[in-house]
Amino acid sequence: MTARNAAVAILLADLREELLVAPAEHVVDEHVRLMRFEEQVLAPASGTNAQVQSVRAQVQQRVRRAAAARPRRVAALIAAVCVISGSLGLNAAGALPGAVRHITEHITNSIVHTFGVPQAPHERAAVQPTSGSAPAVDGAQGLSAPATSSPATTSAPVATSTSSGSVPTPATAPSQPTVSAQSPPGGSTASDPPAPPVQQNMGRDPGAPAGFPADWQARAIAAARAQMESCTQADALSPAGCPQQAGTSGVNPTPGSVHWTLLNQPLAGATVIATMHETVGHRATTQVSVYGLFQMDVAYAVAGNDTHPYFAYSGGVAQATMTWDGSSYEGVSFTSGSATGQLPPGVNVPSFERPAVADSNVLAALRTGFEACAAPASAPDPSISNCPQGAALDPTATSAQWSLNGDPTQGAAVAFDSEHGNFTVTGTYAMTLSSVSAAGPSTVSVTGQYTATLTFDSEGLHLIAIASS
Amino acid sequence: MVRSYDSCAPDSHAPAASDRLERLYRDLAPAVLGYLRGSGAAEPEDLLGDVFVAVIRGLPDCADDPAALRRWVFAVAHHRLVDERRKVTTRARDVALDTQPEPQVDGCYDELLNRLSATPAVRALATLSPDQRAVVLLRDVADLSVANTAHVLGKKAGAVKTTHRRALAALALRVSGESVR
Repeated sequence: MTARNAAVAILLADLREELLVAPAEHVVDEHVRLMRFEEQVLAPASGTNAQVQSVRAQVQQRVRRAAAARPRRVAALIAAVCVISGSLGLNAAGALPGAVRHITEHITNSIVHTFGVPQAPHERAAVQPTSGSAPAVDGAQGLSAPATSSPATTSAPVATSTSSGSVPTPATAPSQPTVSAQSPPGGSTASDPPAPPVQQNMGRDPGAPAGFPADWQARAIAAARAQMESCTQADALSPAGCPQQAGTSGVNPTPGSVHWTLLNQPLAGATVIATMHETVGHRATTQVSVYGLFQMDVAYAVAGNDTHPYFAYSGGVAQATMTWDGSSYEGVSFTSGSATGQLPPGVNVPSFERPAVADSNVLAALRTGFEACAAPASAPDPSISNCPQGAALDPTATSAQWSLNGDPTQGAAVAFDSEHGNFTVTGTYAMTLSSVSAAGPSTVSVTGQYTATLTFDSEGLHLIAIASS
Repeated sequence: MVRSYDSCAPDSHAPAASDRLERLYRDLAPAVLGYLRGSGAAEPEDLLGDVFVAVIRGLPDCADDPAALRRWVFAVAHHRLVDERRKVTTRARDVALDTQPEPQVDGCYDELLNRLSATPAVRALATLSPDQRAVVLLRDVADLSVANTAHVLGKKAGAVKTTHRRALAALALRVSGESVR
């Protein structure tokens, strides 16, 4: 029994040795960074954040004012009852004289001023005066921006407009447009000029925009990641609303043959910012943007060559935009292609770091790829997918075979593209196409320069394609 | 603050410093990672990151008590592990047609065995029931006390002792069986 226990002790010691292994250093760095980020998000606003402090003071002051004195609350309650009865009853029916309607409007304005109706400002009365509207929100809009010179905004509360007869409002008025409908994802419109980011690089500024949850950044990153993962299901080389773009213009992949694969943790090193946009109706919309690194490759087939898939790579900085609807992010969409070089001021996304791969390993992988390019060809197009060579081949050829002339990796230059996260190798190649046709055997020599694209992930080096350049 | 787990020391509210975060991570991450790997987590390092991010949310309450902090971290890890298993069981998985599952080993252990090259110790661990495995990992790998192991697993201390004893007996049986073979 003692010997058995000793054997178990040895087994447990082996187990500890096997399992108690510290994470890799880059994993440690990533996790500690995430922890610091989380701590900053959770931490209370710093004293230097004057803007956040100011907003907080305003909110506290408004709450105190709203709950101030009992007579004021009673008066407000009576006024609210009057306005509701007037708006929904006699006033809505157009039975009240203009002077009385003016009084109800004034009371509405006072209530909104007093309580600061918390709904988002609504520009419908100013932008689309004929679309029907909801009373309280339109009233709030006209009052929450009292400095506006727009007469439609300041003098057209709903109670008046609906009763004037100019707008035949049905009993079931159209629902209010959502935030995303007025601020479409993917960028601002001409009527929606972007203001400077209110909070940039939230890793340093943990204050959340008004109406956003404390973990708004983490949620934004999660929403963007979910969208990016759904982008891998796209059946296109440059899917709309997705960051990836395969630079193969004029190529029409066979429907259903496109398979995108994520090569890295989506949006690694993500940075989140919130940007305030103001519409013509003086409505403020907060757009959240997430920036992070992405790497994807794609395999696809083209008509007539379904047996040899083509590969392409897309990587860089992805930019996702979205809006907060009060409970979740909506309208998540990516800008097509890499946003490298187009980052807003203050947004820093770390560039790709070269993996610990020697040039010789890259060249070895490329050499293997070239050897695969020396394959049997077929007429009339003897080119091989993902290979640089091409030539004219007699359609009557009964056999054709490519062969390498020398080592194409000799003297080739290896570089790592830190903007896009891939290796590129440039060099020259020489190949021969030997064929047998009705006219007899023939050979064609092809030489040229090439640019090869390779990626590296947890499984090692992958040759994407060798393109003639 | 919304808490998903039991707190550890609610009377302490010291702020967390960044260097302390790294020290905390480096102190506990190997054991937590070992627990996750040993429990058959599909992506143990990703889960490890999730655990420590979640830990940050409860960190101020556990700041000054290392034992409570350790227990707290493993409680979070255990709950994350349970969550992951729930997700896995509700999600369709690709299964290669030419593989035959071994009946005595949990499905989640297939990948683990591959990754760890199926050392004898891991193979032996794989033969235990999930409860026994968790107790062995927490007691013998993560070095938690019986009380803390019971807290992490939501069991009574007596149940943990019994499970641990049976687990060691099962391991002993396996060791003797291997030596016979």
